[in-house]
Amino acid sequence: MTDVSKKFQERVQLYKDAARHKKTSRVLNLANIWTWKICNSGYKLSEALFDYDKMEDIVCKFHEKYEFDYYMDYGLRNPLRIADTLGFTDYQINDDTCALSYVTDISYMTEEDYDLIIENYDKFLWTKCMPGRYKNLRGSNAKEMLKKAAQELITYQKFCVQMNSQMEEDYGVPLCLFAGVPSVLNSFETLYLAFRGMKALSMDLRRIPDKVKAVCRALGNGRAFEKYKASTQQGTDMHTGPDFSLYLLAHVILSKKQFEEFYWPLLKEIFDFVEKYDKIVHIFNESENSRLYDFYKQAPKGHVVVHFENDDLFKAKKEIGDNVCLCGGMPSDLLARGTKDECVAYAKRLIDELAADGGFIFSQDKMISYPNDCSAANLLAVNKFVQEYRI
Amino acid sequence: MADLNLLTKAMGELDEDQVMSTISDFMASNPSKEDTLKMMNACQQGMAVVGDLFDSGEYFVGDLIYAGELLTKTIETIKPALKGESSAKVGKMVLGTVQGDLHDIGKNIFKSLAESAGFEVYDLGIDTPPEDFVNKAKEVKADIVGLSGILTLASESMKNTVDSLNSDGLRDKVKVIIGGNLVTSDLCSFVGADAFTTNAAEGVKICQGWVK
Repeated sequence: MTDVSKKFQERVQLYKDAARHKKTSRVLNLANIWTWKICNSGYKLSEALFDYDKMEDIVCKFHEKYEFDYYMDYGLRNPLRIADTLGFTDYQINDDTCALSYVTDISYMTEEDYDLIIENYDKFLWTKCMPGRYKNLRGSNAKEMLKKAAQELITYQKFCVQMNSQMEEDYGVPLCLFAGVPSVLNSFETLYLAFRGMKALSMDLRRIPDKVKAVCRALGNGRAFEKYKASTQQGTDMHTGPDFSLYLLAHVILSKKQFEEFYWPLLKEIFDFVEKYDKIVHIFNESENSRLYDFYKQAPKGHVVVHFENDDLFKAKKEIGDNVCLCGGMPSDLLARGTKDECVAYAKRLIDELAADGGFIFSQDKMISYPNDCSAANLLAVNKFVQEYRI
Repeated sequence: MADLNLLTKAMGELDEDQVMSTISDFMASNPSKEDTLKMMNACQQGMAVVGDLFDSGEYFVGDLIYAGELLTKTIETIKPALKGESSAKVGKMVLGTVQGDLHDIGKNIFKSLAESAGFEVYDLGIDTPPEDFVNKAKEVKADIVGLSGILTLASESMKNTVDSLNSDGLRDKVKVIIGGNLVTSDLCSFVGADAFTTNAAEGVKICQGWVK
């Protein structure tokens, strides 16, 4: 077995063991690093996001420098070449500040469209949502534009496969979480992110809750999950960390009571599925989530990794640490503005208190995206420590 | 005259139908300015109930968005009866999402709650450069400057804005509060703000404490 293969197997095993709450000799270090890696690469953001060769160079050099065990993203999160072909203009790139920002919260459906989604989802998608979102799908040459976008999609998918293979074969790093392992986007998230938007969905929850529930029931955990379920086999895949991933973003508008009503049935289905088929799911949770701990207490032990953004992980460990494997914890505030010693001391505390009996994966608390989100020197010091520290 | 307690209760319970029917009946009665101000006050008290229910966990962010929309709709309906008169203001606040950040939902929730608490709010919108905060704060003689942001890049913009307030000699004349998903105690110190919050209702209470 080559050194690269050994590294690969060690990393997969560390992920599985953490998820299964087994004690490990060291913790797995997961990079919650996004466009920040571009900002430090010497390439402009505007060129890297549109040039897959440059992105590949950035991702590989970044890994050679920081040597994370695992990655959320290999530069795959913003497929702007496809979006641009379709005439998507709701974003801004600022090379001076190395910032990519999306215009937020645009609604691409009306209250009336809830019925259409249930009656004929594809009709809604292709006659309402997509032309609303992409201006090039509104004109007479829409089919031509769609063909070009499909070509870009194929190019993007090839790049995803290539990046994931290269990271495995050259560096022994398993499939990344975004566009690597399969990902589930449930119906509530789809309404929030892609169709209705935060503001309009918040109004709908009060004005037409039955219609929101009806769409959630009809679309469930989405087509990708149905496809995944249909082809799944018993047992976790020993070639990846998690078997699939899930992003909880839309829950930020929901009270505990609303979560139980609108979201919990979808999450419960995931919990039941991973338990039944012995799978592992990695769930990224935006914002602060302590109001939802009662639901996470119902997670099947050994099957759910929960990556928290703003939660106090020491508190979370006490409350739900017996049920879920926790991930995250390293404050971006500290990485950005603390000293190396302060950062390493905090990393040590996280590992000592959260990983002593297993059930913890080390990562940054926020999605590190902009130049001042993190100091390179601090990140290097922390990564060296995490790599070498034995529990 | 409508039942003010009923209106406060309906607003607190976010009962849109009840609120709007009470307001419509009231407007149909050709109300006096004095009675209209009382109605406005009853709505504001209802919003205070919303803030309390948010604090207790009964309501969450989506409810605050809904409450803000309901209040805006109510005020727009009542406004003609005020004939230009407005209720007494407790203080002036300049508010905006800082430079580089395009998010405004959190800011708008805070704005609704602040206005219902009696603040005169000057909303500068999103992606607001430091000089715009400085110029508006000078122009209106603001008591408070509120800086909102979601993206982590907003931390630098918040600091730049506070630095600009400093260099223009305004920092001692205004209180600065920062809000949004990214703010923490550490960030508050780094930025040089007076207070921080991830909770709009709590933020408004902090501001009320400053203008007492």
